[in-house]
Amino acid sequence: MRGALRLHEAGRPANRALVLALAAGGLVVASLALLTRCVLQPMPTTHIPRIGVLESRSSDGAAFQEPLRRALREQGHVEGQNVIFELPPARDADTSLDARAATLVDAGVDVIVTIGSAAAAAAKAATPRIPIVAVGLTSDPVASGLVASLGRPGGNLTGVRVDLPELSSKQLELLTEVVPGARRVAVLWNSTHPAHPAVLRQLDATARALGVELLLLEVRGPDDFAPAFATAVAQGADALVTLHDPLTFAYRDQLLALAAESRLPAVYEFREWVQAGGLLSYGPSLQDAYHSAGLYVDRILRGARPEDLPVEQPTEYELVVNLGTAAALGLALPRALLVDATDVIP
Amino acid sequence: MNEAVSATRLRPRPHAQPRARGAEDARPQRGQLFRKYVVIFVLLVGGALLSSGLIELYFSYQENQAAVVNLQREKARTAVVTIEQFVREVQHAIESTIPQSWAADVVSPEERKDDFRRLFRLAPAITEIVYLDATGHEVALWSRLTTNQVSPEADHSAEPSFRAARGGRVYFSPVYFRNESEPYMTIAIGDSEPEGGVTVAEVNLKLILDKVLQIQVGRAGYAYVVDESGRLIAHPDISLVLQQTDLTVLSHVRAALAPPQPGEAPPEPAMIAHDLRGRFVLTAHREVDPPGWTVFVEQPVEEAFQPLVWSALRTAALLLVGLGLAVLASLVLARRMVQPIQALQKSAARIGGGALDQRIEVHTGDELEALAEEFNRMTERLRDSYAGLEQKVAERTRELADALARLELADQHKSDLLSTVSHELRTPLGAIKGYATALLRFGPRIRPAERREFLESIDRAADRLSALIEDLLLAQRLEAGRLPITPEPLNLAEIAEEVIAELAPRAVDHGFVCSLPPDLPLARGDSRRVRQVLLNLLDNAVKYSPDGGEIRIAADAYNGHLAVSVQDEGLGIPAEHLARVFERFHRVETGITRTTRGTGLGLAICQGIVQAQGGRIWAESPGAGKGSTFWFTLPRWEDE
Repeated sequence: MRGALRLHEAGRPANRALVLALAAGGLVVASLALLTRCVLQPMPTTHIPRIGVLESRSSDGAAFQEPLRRALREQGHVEGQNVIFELPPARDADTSLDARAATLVDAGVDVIVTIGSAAAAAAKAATPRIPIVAVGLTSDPVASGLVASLGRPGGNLTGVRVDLPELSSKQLELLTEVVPGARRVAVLWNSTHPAHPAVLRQLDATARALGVELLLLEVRGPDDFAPAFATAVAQGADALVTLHDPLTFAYRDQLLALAAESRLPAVYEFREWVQAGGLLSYGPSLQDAYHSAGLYVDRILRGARPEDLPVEQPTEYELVVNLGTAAALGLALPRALLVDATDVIP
Repeated sequence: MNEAVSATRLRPRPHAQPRARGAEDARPQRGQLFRKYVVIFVLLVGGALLSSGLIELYFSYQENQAAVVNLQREKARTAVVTIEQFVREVQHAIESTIPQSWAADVVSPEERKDDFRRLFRLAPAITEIVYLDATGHEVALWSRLTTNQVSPEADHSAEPSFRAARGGRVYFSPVYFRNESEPYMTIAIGDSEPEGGVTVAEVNLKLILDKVLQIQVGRAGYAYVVDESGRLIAHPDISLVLQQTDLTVLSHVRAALAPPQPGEAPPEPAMIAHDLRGRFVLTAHREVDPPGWTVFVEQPVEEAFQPLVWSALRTAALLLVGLGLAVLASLVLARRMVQPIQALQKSAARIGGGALDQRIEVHTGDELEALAEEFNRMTERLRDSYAGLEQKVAERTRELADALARLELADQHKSDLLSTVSHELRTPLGAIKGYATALLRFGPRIRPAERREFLESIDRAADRLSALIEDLLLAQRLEAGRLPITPEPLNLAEIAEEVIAELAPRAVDHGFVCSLPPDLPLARGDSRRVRQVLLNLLDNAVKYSPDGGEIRIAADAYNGHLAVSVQDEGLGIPAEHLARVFERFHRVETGITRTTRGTGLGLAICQGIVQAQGGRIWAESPGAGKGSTFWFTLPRWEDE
């Protein structure tokens, strides 16, 4: 205790020391609180995930982009800040799907979104590691080896089904409703499509139940379209069913023109046909599928594994009719159908 | 007290001070007191902080848990309401297609199909609906996926949906999965008559269950749904659902599904349990009726109690800081409390060690300062009495030494006196003995003239002996203060005349000059003694002026006294003997004095007499052979 006896001075300095100590203590508390807050808060990750997009045939333009982005936005991803899209380069017919898939894999993207079953197959072939979310996985993804099962894909690929050939019977039924007097219905099918033979068998049963005759028109490429329509007209077909096929979807403008020219009332799978001038469509919504794919991308970015994400089935089916086309064909659409329609295009 | 001791003088100097004992003793004691204060302060403040922190923690734990559980219950309730509403809507929609019993027969299959078609617009979750007649055969069918063609040959009468719903009942099938991933449920409602038909609808549950799965509690909280048997039908981890996980392995699920036993408390609606991954979760559940499912809302305990962890951390940090401050404050306070006590103790130790000029400086303005002041006063008194004691001792010692010296001197005088007296007595005794012996032995042969001379010599020696003894007695009485003095008014001139007249026959060679002023005041004294003094002095003057000469007697008055002088022109006194001539048997060794007679006590007797009467006596002499003057004084006679 040095200077212990300087008592007449001791009082005031002790008070000052106390005040100083209290002030210092307050500071310590404040800084401690701040420190713990800073240290214990989770640090934002610096890694910004990148999403590569691979499109089979860019016939659909960039229609997938809006719903895909919307889904990611809804889940809190801000493009450019915590997610980056590796968009496909400008439409390049020369670049094969495999080459583009390899480019995305080399770029080290975190997720690949594929549009169309061909793109899904190409991406699957390019990487066994990078998660793939496919929109459209061929009619039977298990048989084609993309997934082990619909409920548990098992590999690095999962997705949203849009190719539902089994809807063809329903489409035929709707068509007969629109064209009540139809006796002969032409069916545009692709012999190279693996699912079509089975669909034709099912369709045949339906036709018999409905009391119509089917006229099968086989196409393998764009060049077969015009002869097929010519055959239909020549054979006196009253209406036309197009089986779901990427080939026909890609050349839908050409086919719609041929249908109009042949004055054939036709039914399709997607609303995109009707918006482009088709009479009637019944099937899942592509926009919804893209949106669902976006939600899957979000779950994968948050740590989910594609092998655990079941292949998603459509839950809603859209019935879209085009009044203008119907009028041009001289058809009076049944009132019940119009009421049932999800969308009526004037 | 010289001056106030400055504070710095009180600073301990452990090595410079020989009284280090006190300081060393004090060290451990002081430490103990200081420690005691610090410990008490720290215990008080720390205890208060700790208890308040723990209490706050306890209450925030309770509140937090209650809040989380309430939130979970609310979420579960919302989910249940959502599902129940959905199921009821679907049920009502199906029921709307069932005609009243009286109209059942008149409704055609086509009308039913139209009803189903309308129903599809109302209930998008229904994928397929079919009306089975009383035999279980399809009558009307509407589907979103296939054609609306009935298969008349198909018999559904054995199916549980048909059997369970007949008679106006409602049947909910277990959840099943289409395409391995789509949850579906069959809802069958029978016509009201017992043997009536049944409407069977396939309901897609994906959207409604997804809605339940969107429930989020915090970051990691989630909801899931199990059916009556405990099988998982909806869970954020869809793979668990598709594996048809049986959740009855979890005790809280088992408890929730168990039918309530009468007399047994229903299971807690919210509790802490293990989830499938073994984590601790806070869980709440609620039954969905219809169709008898149970919704669970769970949140990992660590997340649910995250605010609590924060609170605990905060409390701990505050506690630490508070304790630090308490220690700091207690150090300061204890220091302030102990310091004055230390100062007191140290100063007291020094005072105890004898440093009586030590002053205790404590300015705390409280009892301690008062105590210090008391100490200071005590020390002051102690110092004063100490100083007085020392002075007295010194005085007494000095007196004692003086007395001792005087005693030694007196002893010396006594032995001197004894040898002188014996010498003085021996001389006349020797003469008496010599002459007496001669007379005895040779008496007849001694001539009468010689005999007479011898006898005269014996007579003179006897006189001298007698005078000597008388003087000795007188001197002894004077010294013992036993000489009776009878003061009376004296006329010194008269006494001088009488003494001169007595002496003159023996001093024919000397002339006496008596020059006493006539108006000399009366002196106060014993006339016989004064006469004796004067006679003695005049006799001495005669004796020590062997060659004759004038002897002057003078007197004067001053200051209430009368001074008398006797001046001769004789041998004088050397300066070194002037003071000693009044000692007994003191002689100035000169040739003449050997032969002069005298007892050697005359001047000593004179001094004794003069002093006994309140006067002084002294001698003056310019030197040997130049005569001497003897003075004595007497007080004036004052009329009473």
